[in-house]
Amino acid sequence: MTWSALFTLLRRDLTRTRGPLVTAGFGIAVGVAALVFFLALGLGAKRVLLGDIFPIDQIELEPQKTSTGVLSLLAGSYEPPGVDQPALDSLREVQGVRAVYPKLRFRFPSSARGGQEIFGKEIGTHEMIGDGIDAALVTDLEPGSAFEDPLKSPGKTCQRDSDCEGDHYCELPSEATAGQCSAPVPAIVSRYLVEVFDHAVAPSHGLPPVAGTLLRQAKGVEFRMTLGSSLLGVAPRGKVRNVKIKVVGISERAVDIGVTLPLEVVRRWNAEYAGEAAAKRYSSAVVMMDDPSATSRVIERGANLDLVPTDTRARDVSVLISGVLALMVLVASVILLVGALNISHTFRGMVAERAGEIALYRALGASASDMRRWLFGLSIVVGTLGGLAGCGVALVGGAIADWRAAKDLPDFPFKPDSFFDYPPWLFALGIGFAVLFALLGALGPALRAAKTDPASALGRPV
Amino acid sequence: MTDEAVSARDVESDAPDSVGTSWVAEAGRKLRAHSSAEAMIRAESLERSFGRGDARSRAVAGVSFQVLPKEVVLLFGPSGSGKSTLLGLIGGLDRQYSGHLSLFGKDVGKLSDKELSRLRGERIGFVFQAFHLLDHLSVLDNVQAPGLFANPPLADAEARAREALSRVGLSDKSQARPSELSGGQRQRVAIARALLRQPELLLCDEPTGNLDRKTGESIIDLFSELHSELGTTFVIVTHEHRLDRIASRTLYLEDGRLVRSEEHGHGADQP
Repeated sequence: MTWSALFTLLRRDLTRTRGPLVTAGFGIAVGVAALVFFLALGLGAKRVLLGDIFPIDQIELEPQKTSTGVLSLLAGSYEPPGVDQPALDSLREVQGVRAVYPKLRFRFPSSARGGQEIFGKEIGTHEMIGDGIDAALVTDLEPGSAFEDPLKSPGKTCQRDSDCEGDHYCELPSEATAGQCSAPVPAIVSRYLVEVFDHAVAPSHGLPPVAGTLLRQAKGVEFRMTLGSSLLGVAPRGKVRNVKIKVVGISERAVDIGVTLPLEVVRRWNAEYAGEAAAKRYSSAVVMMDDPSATSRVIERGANLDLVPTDTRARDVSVLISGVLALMVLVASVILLVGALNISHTFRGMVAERAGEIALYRALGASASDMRRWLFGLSIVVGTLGGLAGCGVALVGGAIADWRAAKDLPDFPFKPDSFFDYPPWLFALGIGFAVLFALLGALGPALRAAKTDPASALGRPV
Repeated sequence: MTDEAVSARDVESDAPDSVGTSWVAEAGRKLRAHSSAEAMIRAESLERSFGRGDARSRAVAGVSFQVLPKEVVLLFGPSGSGKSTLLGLIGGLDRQYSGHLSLFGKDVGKLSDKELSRLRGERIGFVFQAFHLLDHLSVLDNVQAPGLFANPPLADAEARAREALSRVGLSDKSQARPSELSGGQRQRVAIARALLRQPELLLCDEPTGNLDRKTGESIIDLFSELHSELGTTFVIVTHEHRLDRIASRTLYLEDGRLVRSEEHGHGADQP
């Protein structure tokens, strides 16, 4: 039988047996709708949770905390453990690792005030915490926002801020007799921090949300930071002094709570207030991976270096999402299986009812394999149409869910515009599953049709 | 008359001018291609049983015969004598037999399902007592149905179907549904369908069994025309003697056995 003849038979069947075929495809459509809907929801959740909140393409390793640290603190010789250069090099050698970036935590007390541009009044914190990170790690800033050590281009010599022009300040280290005029130190903040501020802190203080303002006015938001002193005390060395920092944007590379500055700046300030040792050993290392599957190898190598992940939430969330997704796929598969049984039932009835017609076709020259192709072809059509309908239902369902969520759910951190992700492969998967289960359902009836005994069936009316 | 005497010229000369020349040419071509010394159907000790053990019954019990080109052979016998079963066997619809059966010189037992289906589609036509028309299709589509399984496809299937309908006198009914036709008209449609691929052999199972006497006579006349004009070979299962007038011979069956053969002298070749 030629393809054209097969299409003729299928076209006639679609017209003639529309009702039963729609019934047969209904189960498949429901199964595919459930499959696509749940998978899209899972992918959407994964995008928000693992893309924005807990990025999974990176892992941060820090030295393991041990009781010997407490003993050395009591002995007065406490030196926080750190990540040295050989450890960084060792991590870079792990297969699947794209890059390793060291981070240097503030090792001195500090506080900050500012924000007049945004809030109309100054706000501040008596205890400022933060990290220094490699500028190369920050690649997600708005165009035109620079994140690098401002003294990379040395400024003119100064004694005080008034010696400098514009918004520059005099960077005068504690022991130095003369400083250099410096542009405000660029700072980035995390989206997480901004979200928490906008949805928790700002409303309680009657302040406006800052996310949009920061993104639009990144170059204008300055804070005055006091080095060497905070609510909890002063640094054992160095003199208390003020510097300027400027928020240049929101980055997923910024530390969740606190401010993130260029690594070289923090290295200088750590040396000034906590000694040279605090400037040489990093507090942690961010390992960027090409593939999340490299995570276990990185963790294993880290363990050999006495380094542990700072945050296992990404992994936990990933496992949780995968588990929930697997469950949803299982539920959808059960529905699809029921759909396949439905198709099987309908097709079996059709084959029994049309035994005379099948026998006639055999008498007219159709082979057993032609009859199999006919039934399988019909099931593919039913599966494809059911799959398309299911995908459509899932899309509509997702749109309704998004609309209801936007309308009824209160604003919360990381609330996405859409809870669903629909990559093209998802629709291909949905239709593929639909066809697969339809074929599965048609298998028995198709074999039965091929085995129809034409001689005896022709004794019955068509 | 021997089968050597059957030539394309005989067929062509028998065809009236009114008959589509393509039909005659095609039928002639097929007959020329056919080995003159070869039987179309050769059955030797053919048996077909149903059931198992004590319940086993032989519907066809050791039947041997042959049918030569251009013959009109009647299979005659009472109900349950094995006529229709034998027709199913020689049409290649039923392969559960023992003994030997060859169609057009090919051992049916050695043919694959695909080969046998192809042979059936290209060289054999069927006409059934119950017509077996598809009610959801028009008359024209019913007649074209065998074309669905032709490979390569029939480029002129519709023209052939219209020609076949014209031949059976139903040109004006091409768009009608089978349910709108009388019994005789339905059987004519079934005959037109059987003729679509210009088969060399037409197997008919009680073709007049569901028709009144007058309509039945018209169908017999149509068979006679087809035989004389196209040289088509017929094997007709019947229990009506009125078909004797067009038959070469009648094979009598009783309880699955071939009990007698009667020559009529009509048709073409004799075995």
